[in-house]
Amino acid sequence: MLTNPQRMSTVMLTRWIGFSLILTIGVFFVLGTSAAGGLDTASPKIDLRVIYFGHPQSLRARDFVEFLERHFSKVGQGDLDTFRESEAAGYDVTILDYDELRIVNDHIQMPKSVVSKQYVRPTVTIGATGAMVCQRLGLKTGYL
Amino acid sequence: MSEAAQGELPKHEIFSKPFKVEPVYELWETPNNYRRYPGGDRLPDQLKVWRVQRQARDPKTRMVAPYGALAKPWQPSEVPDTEILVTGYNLGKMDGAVAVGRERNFLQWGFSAPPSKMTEAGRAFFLNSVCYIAKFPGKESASSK
Repeated sequence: MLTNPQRMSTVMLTRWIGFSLILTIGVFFVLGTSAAGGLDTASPKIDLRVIYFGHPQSLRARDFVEFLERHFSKVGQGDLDTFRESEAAGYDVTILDYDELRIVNDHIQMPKSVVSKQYVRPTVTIGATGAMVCQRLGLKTGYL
Repeated sequence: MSEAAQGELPKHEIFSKPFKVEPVYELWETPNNYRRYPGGDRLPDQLKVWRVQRQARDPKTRMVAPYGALAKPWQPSEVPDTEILVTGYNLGKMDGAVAVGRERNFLQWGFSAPPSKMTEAGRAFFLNSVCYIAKFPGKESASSK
């Protein structure tokens, strides 16, 4: 039979163990989330210079650029319609994108972006526009 | 092209560096168009997919506007300096059509949505794709210098 002070200390010990367990689980959860690198956490910017070429002033271009600015150390922007390979100089990665493409007489109309076969900069091409760029270059990733 | 990539993630750094890509898998009905291609009759009734973006399909075309793009599958072991990174669930082409792939210094991201319409896994995969292609600066030929 426990005396009153003994019962009190048992209750206190149980509470203390419970509190410690919750604290430990919480710490592990926070550390785990950070290690997973959740995108919406205030993680440091990635040390890459990225330039986005698309349809200037469009909501889509703004969406991409704002997102890229949150994650990369330097972000530039340009017009795909007037893209020149020299504009990609000074950047680690170039992104070629555009807005919705128009189909006229069964042909996809897209900016006359000229990417030569000598172009060597790391580049992400996006969506239908990107597939057309790849197709013009004779790449496997061109339009099916 | 739909809003989803097809199949489980292969083991590749593009799905873990710098961000861990954590897809939410779903089982979708195997499209009838897959059955028209060789081997299509042997596919299961449902396929494992994960959403890369959340834009709604056009009810007429059943595609997601602005339209994405797929590439014809190839054998990367037979084409130097190429990779198939994910295939795309689609309602017009064959099983295994390439949604995201690389050749030389070009990484084609076949999905169409801007980042605000991507899923969390899609955004992580997109950022990783930008980081990954940075490792592939092509070699300038003597004539281009």
